[in-house]
Amino acid sequence: MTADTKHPEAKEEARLVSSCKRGDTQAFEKLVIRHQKRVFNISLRMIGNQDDACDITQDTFVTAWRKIGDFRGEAQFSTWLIAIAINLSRNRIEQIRTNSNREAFSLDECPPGSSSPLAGSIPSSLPNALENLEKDEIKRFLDGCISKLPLEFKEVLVLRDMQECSYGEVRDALGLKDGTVRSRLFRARESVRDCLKTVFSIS
Amino acid sequence: MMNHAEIRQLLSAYCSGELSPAERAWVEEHLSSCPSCRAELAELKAVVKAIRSTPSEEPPQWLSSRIMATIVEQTVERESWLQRLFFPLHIKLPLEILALLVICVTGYYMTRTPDLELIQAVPQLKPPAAEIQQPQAKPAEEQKLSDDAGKAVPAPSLQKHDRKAEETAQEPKYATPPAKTAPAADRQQLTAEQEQKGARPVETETGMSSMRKAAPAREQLKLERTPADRQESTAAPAPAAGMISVRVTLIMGLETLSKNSVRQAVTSSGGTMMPTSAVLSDRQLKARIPASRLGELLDRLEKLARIVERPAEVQSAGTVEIEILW
Repeated sequence: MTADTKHPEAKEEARLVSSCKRGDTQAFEKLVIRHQKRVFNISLRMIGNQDDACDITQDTFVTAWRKIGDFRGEAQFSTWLIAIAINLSRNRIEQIRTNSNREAFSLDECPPGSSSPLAGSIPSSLPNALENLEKDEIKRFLDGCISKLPLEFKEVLVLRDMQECSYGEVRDALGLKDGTVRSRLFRARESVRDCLKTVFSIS
Repeated sequence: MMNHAEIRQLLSAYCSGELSPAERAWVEEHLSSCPSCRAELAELKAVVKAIRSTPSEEPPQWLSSRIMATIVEQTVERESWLQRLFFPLHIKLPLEILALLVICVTGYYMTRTPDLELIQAVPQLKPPAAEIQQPQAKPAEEQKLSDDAGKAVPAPSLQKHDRKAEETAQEPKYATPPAKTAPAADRQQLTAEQEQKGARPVETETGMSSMRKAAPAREQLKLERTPADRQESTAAPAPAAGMISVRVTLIMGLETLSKNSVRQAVTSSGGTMMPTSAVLSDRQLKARIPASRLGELLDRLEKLARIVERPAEVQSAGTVEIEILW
């Protein structure tokens, strides 16, 4: 994404935001339609179920509407939205944690050995394994491994690798320093890799 | 030289193209001679690729509508509390004005309650006099009175509290039973007449004090309703000492003034007819009326005929004896 291609979009978005500040709900609806998928997916990855993700998405936009006056356009509108979504997700996760101790995914679900997904053959390498697996199988294990990540790693991984936010967006949305983003991303990816290796019984 | 650990830390960033040119050069140089790091890089790349290729979910179709509905609802709520207070204008404004009026009227009446309290309080003063009256009044009268008052009148018992209470209860209804009398249990004179007139508590009180000076009980206690004739047999014609006498002379117009209409005017003004034996002719009436209602009587008489001789308005609070001639 170069500055050129972004420029007209950015301008248009700035126009919409100005309209919203004046109370134009129709302009806001355009922003909702434009960004809801992203917000929804981030929430879904963070919270783990669709119902909560819908609630968080709605709350994100409602909050954004209420606080549109505070948005000064220094960052991108989407970055601001994501920051709101992340905060709401964190709150909701805290709530869930205090209520129950369930884990979204446990390695026990995939015992090593005979129940290896690649029944019978032990893959020589992870790349091999990932290539040979059915897409939905990959997805299932991947989802599981990602959901097990500690929160601060998960956030960075979801934003950077799943939502393809730029480094700067990740940094701004999460309020982190560059170095922190980089190291957390590394740790997140390593964790997923190790988790998958365990699943596939790869040493 | 970078060691494996440092290189490995950079591999992730290298995957995503986040290294500076210098850093990238170091890594690539290392990788060219390090199979394990190369393998590790391959793993990382595969993982990142898998992660990135995870498809995004589509949000439910109703989500954006629900979001907008909530926003619009909240916006409307915020803007319109003032509007909702006053619109629709043609319904709410009249209602609100009406409500305001009701509040004002209620407040006004509430500030008037002291008057009511006073009216309620006064009857309690009356009982003693009545009691005192009773021994003096003729039995017949008593009987009549008690009947009228709706209560039994046994032998006069002075100042019983229950009697007071009875009478107090009766008081608001109509001219009351003999008993409303002054607080002091002195012999008065009764003018139960005053009480009988109904709601004039203050006057009654003062009237009573003047009553005290009046001649005793031979005066008739009479309820308004009691026809004057009944009184005739028992009333003493002589005016009570201390009572003011006035006279009014009327001139009739085309119609002949009937005695009855005069009588009616008198009784409507709270007056009591005096026995006709006390008057000299058919065109004369004597009555007793509370001084305060003299003006009222004169007004009524004015409607019937022209007053040629009109007494001055009497200031005293007692009863006046009025002689009406026409």
